Amino acid sequence: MAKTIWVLVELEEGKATRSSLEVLGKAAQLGRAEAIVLGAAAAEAAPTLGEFGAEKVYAHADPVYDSYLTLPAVDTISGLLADHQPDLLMLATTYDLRDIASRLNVRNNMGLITDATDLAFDGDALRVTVPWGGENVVTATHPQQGTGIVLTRPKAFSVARYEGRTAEIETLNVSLNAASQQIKVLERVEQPIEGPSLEDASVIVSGGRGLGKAENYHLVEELAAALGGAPGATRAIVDAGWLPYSYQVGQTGKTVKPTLYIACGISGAIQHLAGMKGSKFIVAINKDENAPIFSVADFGVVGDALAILPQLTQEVKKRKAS
Amino acid sequence: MLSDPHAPRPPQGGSLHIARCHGESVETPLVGVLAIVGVRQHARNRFFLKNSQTLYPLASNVDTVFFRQVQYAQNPFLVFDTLPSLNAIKDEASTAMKMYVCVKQIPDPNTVVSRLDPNTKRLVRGGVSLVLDPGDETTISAAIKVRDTVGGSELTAISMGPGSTQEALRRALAMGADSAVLITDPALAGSDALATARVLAAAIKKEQPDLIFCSTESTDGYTGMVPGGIAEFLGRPQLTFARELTIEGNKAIARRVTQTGYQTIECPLPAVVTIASGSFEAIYPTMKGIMSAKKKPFTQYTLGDLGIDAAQVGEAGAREQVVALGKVEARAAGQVIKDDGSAAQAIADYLQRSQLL
Repeated sequence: MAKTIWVLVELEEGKATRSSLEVLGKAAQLGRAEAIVLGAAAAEAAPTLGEFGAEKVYAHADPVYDSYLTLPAVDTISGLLADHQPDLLMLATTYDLRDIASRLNVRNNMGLITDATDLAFDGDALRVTVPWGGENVVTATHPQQGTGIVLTRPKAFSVARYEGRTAEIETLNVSLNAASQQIKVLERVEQPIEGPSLEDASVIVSGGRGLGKAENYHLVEELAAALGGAPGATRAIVDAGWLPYSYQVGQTGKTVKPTLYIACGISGAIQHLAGMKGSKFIVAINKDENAPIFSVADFGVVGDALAILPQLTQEVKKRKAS
Repeated sequence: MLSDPHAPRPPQGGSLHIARCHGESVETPLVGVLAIVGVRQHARNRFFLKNSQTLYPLASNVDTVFFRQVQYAQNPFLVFDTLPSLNAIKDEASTAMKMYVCVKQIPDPNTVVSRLDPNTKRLVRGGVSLVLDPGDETTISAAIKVRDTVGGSELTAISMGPGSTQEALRRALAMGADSAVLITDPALAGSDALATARVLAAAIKKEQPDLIFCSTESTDGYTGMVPGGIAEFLGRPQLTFARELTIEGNKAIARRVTQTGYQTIECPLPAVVTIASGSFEAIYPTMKGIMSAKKKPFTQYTLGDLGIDAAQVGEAGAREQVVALGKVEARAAGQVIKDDGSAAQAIADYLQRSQLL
């Protein structure tokens, strides 16, 4: 029997996010994909989900989901789970969806696998692929009966098109609990960074401890700008307070897959490699010739990033101009 | 040390007299002091209560003294904040809070390449150097700073883990936490996020704290599913990915990191707050902190103390199972050159050859 897989689809500016559509496409490949969409724009977004793989959409158009984080969504999904027993609930790994998943797991005693890069059903048994550390890959499953949760790693799947598919839409008629309206959004601030975002950039230039101090990070930004790319950072320099968390590339930050990744003064901690080694071309500059980053680099330079970066920025500008 | 916090108190009136280590002193009038509620000992100040000409010695090595004041109806605190300005007296509307910070001991991410045991399929913890999770150092620092903004508040560091976890908790105490709780039980080995949240929440519940701090995620497991789980077990809201946090009366207000910027969010207390890595400047233990850590209250619980059935935790209760371990296909290393001054050209050449420029 075909498996039923639910996907909680996140909305941004009234539209389904790319990360949610990636997950929906994968769910449709595994079985019968059903989407849940919550928020003021749910009614408009619901009919668009069929061509991304959904055979059914549960929609609840209510702005409460946008003004109050986590708890109203957990209530509604828990209510749905009481009436239906899908085989699996899949979510993209985003800030809001992680919060929702962590509470759903406890409230409904579900079981949860994070950071998945692939899933398959082997008969009735779910097989989830989770890269672990630098070298291992784990295959995990939910051994118990009932619906389990899987959070998938960003960019693990690409958006799939199911031309001509229209989803059946079930408009939810639930009354939201006032007591769950606790985590209130007072203000949303977008901080546009110049050039492409880390997730979308085809070129990323990242800096690490080898830059010496926060004041030298501009060398990374200048090369990124010259290449039309985005600047990134390691957890070490984010932890040190040089840059905000949004710059962090790695297992705990953003997983990136640009065409070109230039690692400057980065030794290559496992958690950083996990977040960037899917890049097509990797260039590394580091003083220590034994740095693990060289084991994944296509082109490595043993040298001082502080000396090489300004020259490389000039060289890139010169060759681009000619 | 405080000789006797309750005995030497002038009746109505009087003044608070503070002598600092450099010999200067300051006097501040007091009205209707009822009782000394607590002191925080960091600085080398000596405190006296003065009535007419008599100085009643209060305490030395103190930077803050908390009084309960009869003049006000309920129970506000008067906080004498002597650092940096000696004469700043704040009438704090908020009352003291009980705070918890959840921490974890992990294989040192800077020196240990974490491995999974092919038989148990668990993280290898034996024979490797274990440390307090570096992310937790930020979180503990944030918790200490928030504690110090709400007069008289206390911070307990809590962890679940094997006996060695004591060392991570000692470090939290040395950094400035006031007490520690360790839940250790052989049945806990192999616990998943759900069980970990269940156990931590059961221990935290005993004290009904106002604020529970957690790191956004651990540096070894990365699931990030425990803090929300604790909040769910406690039936409390969670403020996540905070890079700033303010307590205003009975509300917590956080600046929350998002994919594209930030949000300002608020929720009523009690609440669980997760701190984004690197958001708060780290506090390092001083020698004095390390010495005093040995004397701070340290409580240890087993599963039985928390009334939790062993079948709900550990490997027995895990709702996920590792069925196989494999190796990742290694990415082949490429060409490596040494910089002889022409590396910038060499990289640019490589980029052009690869049609990246």
